[in-house]
Amino acid sequence: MTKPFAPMREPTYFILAALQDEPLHGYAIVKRAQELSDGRVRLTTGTLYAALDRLAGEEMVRVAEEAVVNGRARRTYELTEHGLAALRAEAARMAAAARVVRDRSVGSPAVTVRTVLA
Amino acid sequence: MSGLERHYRWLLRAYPRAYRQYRADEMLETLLVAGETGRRYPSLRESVALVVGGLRARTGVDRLGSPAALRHSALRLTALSLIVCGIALTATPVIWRSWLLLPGASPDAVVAGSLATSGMLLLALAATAWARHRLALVATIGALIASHWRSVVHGQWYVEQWTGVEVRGSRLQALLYLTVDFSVWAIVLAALAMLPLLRTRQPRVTRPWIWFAVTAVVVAVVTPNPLNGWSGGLGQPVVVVAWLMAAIMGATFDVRISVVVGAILLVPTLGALAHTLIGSEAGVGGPGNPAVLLGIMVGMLVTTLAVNRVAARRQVTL
Repeated sequence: MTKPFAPMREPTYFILAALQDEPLHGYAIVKRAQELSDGRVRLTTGTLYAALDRLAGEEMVRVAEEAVVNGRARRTYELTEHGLAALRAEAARMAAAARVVRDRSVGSPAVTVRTVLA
Repeated sequence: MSGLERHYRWLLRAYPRAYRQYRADEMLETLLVAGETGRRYPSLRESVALVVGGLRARTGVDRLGSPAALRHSALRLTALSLIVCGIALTATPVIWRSWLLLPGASPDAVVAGSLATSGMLLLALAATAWARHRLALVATIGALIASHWRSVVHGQWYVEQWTGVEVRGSRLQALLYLTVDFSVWAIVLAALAMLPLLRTRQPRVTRPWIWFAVTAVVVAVVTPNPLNGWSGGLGQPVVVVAWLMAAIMGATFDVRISVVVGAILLVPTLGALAHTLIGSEAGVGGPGNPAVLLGIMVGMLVTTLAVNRVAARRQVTL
């Protein structure tokens, strides 16, 4: 039996989500995560690399390519199969949580009572 | 090299050398690309993130990876810290007798206590530092027995330090009186912290000898000895400031620090609680209002626990 994935924090979720389509380097991950979260997740460099270290330790991301740009190392990261499964599991968990509220009909007892009292 | 790059390089020094060798160039590239054009100094938000990230990398908390690993590491550090605390609280007889061996030292005072206690606790410290937890538990229990079996058997409540005056009562009273003794709580809590470690696989330990250096420093400061004029101990303001610093450090980058401090705080809190419950009956006095001191200690302890709860969740979750 496979071990269930633990819930993720929002920055981690958006880092993995940023890597869904293509491998990205550090700054591109920051920008993509910000876009995907409508500006809510603004990763600092310190937070980004701490998260990447932990995700690499959990084998959810890996280095896809290493290059030298402006005389400095630039690594590109990609999602692993395990990372993609964890991301999908988290998305399914959040979707299930959202359904609890979204699928509630407008005429449900609590809403009706509150409307009558108002 | 621009001023901004120089500032970032300086901030990246918060990370350990090995980490910098692997990552600093890449982080610097990202920092400079992400930095706003024309900015001369790093933003406060980015600076704090770099310092916190660096300190977390230095303590190694970010490499623990799972709640179970964090729990194991926190328990091990707690057990070690409590043993150091126990050694500091019971080392006076050893220091005093060593002092008497020096030429010119006169035995014009009496320091009661068993030498075996410190010996057993040192063995427990070494065993825990080298992850030999069964031996450590046996040595810790041995230290408790060595320090107090005689007083319980002979109904001795305590011996006045420096004067040697013995206060006696029944065996039950002597047993109850043990709960007022801070060293008893340090040893008992250390033993309790070791119990869960017995069931876990022993990980590789790094720099175990450092605990002897820590013990030497703590004993030099806390235990009465010639270096501090035979007046050891920490003042209440020092304790409060140290607790506050530890709680902040625990909340920001390593929850294990505040876990350890919480466990150490429990030692005087339980001692003070026992003092409040049975101390007045035993005629034991102390500085300040015991109820107020107890209230303050319980408040500090509860705050530390709350910090631990929030910080542990934040620092371990992916």
